[in-house]
Amino acid sequence: MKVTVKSILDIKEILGGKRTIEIEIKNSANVFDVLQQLVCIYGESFENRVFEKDGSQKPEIVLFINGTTILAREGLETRMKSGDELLIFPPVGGG
Amino acid sequence: MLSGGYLGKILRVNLTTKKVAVEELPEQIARDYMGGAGFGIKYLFDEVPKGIDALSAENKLFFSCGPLTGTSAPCASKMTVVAKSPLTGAVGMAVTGGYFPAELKFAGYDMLIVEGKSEEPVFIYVKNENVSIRSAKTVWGVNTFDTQSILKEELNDQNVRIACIGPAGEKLSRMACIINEKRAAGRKGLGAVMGSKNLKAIVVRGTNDVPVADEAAFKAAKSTMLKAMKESAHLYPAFSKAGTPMVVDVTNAAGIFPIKNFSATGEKDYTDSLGVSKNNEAFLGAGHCYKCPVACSQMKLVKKGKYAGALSDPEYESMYCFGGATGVENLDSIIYADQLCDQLGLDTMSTGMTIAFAMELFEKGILTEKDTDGIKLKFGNDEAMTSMIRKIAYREDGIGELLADGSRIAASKIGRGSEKYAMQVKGLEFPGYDPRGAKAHGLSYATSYTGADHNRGYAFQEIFGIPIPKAYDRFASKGKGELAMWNQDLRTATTDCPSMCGFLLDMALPAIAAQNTAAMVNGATKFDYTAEEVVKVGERINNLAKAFNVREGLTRDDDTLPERFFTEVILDGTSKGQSIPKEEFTEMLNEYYEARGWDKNGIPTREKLEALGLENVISLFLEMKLY
Ligand code: SF4
Repeated sequence: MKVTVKSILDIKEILGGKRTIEIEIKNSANVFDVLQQLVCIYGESFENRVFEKDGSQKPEIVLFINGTTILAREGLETRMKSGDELLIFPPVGGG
Repeated sequence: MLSGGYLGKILRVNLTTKKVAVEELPEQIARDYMGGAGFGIKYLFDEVPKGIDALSAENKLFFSCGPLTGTSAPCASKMTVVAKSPLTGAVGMAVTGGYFPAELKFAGYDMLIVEGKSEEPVFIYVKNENVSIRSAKTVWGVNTFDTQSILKEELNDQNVRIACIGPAGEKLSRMACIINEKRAAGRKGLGAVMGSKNLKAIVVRGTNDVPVADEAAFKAAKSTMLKAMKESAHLYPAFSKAGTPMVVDVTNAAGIFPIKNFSATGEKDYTDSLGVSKNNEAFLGAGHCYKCPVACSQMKLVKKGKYAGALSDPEYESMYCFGGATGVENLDSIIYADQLCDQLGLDTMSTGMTIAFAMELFEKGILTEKDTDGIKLKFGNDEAMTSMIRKIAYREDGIGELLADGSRIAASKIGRGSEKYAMQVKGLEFPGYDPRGAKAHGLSYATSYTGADHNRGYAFQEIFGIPIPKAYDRFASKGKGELAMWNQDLRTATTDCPSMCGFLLDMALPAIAAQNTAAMVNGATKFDYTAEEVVKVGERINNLAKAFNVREGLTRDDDTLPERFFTEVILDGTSKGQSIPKEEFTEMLNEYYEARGWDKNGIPTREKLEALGLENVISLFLEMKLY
C-alpha cells in the first residue's frame, strides 16, 4: 500500500527537500515500519535524527498520523492504512 | 517580612492630584498572588470600581513585576500590565519583556500604579526614589521609537528605559499597545488606557540591585533551570536561531494556520512564502531580553523592492495576522506592517485581524470601495493591508475611524450580518491557531479571562505534540475542559506571576515548570512554595479574574467562539473536515466549568472560593445575589 510522509524544517531537508513523499509499504505496516523504510531509503542522516543510539525513537521527534499524535494512539505500533499521512517534525515551540 | 526577590514597595502616581506615594507590598499578597499578573489582577479587583468606563480617569494601570524580574534568573525579563480593557470590558492584561521591567525593579519597585488623569500630556520620570511628572509636549504625536530617542536626549541619559504609546494610544484606538524598546505589552488596548490619562510615557532609571534571600538555594535552582534549558532539544539550536516564525512551518503542516480570516484554513501552504527559510533570507541579527540566553528575537531587514528599508522582528503572530489571515504572502510587507504597528503603537494581532475582517466584508460586498476610501481591500492585497495601518492608528475619517476600535465594534457599526465575520472572543481578536484543529486551545480562547488569547493557556500538547502531562488527540473534545484549565493555571503560575518567559514553558520546561518556579521563587524570596501551591496561585488568579469579569457583567454567553467554528468545517489540508459543532462545544465548556469547580453558568462556587481563600469574592457574589 501507499502512504504519504510529510515533513518540515530540517527533517524535510533530510528527506530530499520535498514537503511530501509517497512510499510503498507492506499492508500491515505500523509507524515503526514506515520509519525503518525511511532509514533504508535515506540512510544514516535520517536514522540519527529520529532514533537514539540504542534504537529507541527520540522523544522530541513528533509523529502525527492524519493530524493526530501517535502518542494518543498506539505509539510506534499504530497501524497505518493505505493513503494515511505520517507527519514528522522536529521539536518546535514558541508562538 | 519580605527578604528578597521582592523590594516590598509599590509606587503609586496619581495624575489628577499629581501625588506620588510609596506603599508597602503586603507579605500576604506577595505569598498568595506571587507577582506579575497576580498583583495586577488583585489590585485591579480591589481598587477599580465596578462598571467604570475603561477610558475614564477611574481606570488604573498596574505595571507589575515578579519576584524574579531583575534577578539573575534566566529569562525572568517580564512584566505584566493590567487595567480594565477598553477592547473587551474584561480584565486587560498583557506581558512585555525587554529591559524596562528589570529597570523598574532596579529603581526599587515591584509595581507601579498609575491612576487619575492629567489635563496635559505628561510622562512619569522615575529615577530610583525621585519621581516626577513632566510635560510630554515635545513627544505628543511622535511615534514610539522617536519618543524613546527624544526623551533620552532631553533627559540627557541614554540608559533610561522607556515604556510609551504612539499616535494610536493618543487617539484612543482600543487596539493600541504600549511599547518599551521594541517590545510590546501588545493586546487588549492598554495603550488607549495610557492615552486616556494623557500619559505618553514612563521613563525609568534604577541603580539598585535586586537582592535574593537565599543565595545558595537560588544558585542551585538556577543551575538546574539552566541545565534543563541547555539540554532542551526545543530551545537549541533551532528556536534560538529561528524564533517564533518557525511555528509557521508547523501550523501549516498541521492545517491550522488560519487563512483569509479563517474562511479558508488549509486551502494553501504558506511555508514557502512565510516560513523559516524565507524568514532567514531577511535575517539581520538576533536580539534578546534581559538575562536571556536564548535570544529568540529575529531582526529582519527588507533589502529591496517597494518595502526596502523596513526593519522589524515580526513574530509568528505577525506572519499569521498580516499574512495568512489577510491572504498576503509577501513577507516584506509583513515586516513593514510589523514595524509600522510598533511605531504607531498598535497591537499587531488585533490590527491584522481587524483588517482581515474588513477584507472578508469587502469580498462579500458588505463593504465597498465607497467605504474603504477607494481601496480594493481584497484578500492577498499587501498594499491595501499596509495602507490600513496608518489610517487606523490616526483614526482617519472613513475606514480608519471605522476599524480603529477592533472588529467587534466595527461590526456593530456596520451591521448587515458582518458580526459573524468578526473573529473575536469578548472583543479580543484571534491568535494564529484555528481552534477547529486544536480544541483545548480553542476552549482556552473561549474561557480565558482576557478573550481570545493564546498566551493564557497555550495548548502545546495539541500544537507541538508535547505529551505533558500526557498525550492528547488534538481533534478530540473529551478531556479538553480539564486540559484547558491545566494549561491556564500552569501558564499563569509559572510565567505570568514570577515573570518568566512563556516560551520556556511551552518548550523547554513543561515537565518541571511548577517545580522550577517553586525552586526559583523560594530561592529568591525564602518562601516555601511546593509545586502544588505554585499551581494553586495560578488557579486563584484565574478565579479572581473570572470574578472581576462576572462583576463587570460577563456571563456564560461570553465564553464562546465565533459562529464560523461551530458551523463551517475546515475544507482542506491536514485538519480537513474538522469543526466544533455547538453541542460538542457546550459539552467541552460544561466539562471545563466542572473541572474548575464552577456552576453551570460559570460562576465559581462558594466551596471553590473558600478553598482558594477568596472570601472577598464570596462577599461580592452574595451582594450580587449569585448565591
Ligand atoms: S526567549 Fe525570546 S522572548 Fe523569551 S526572554 Fe528570551 S529573547 Fe525574550
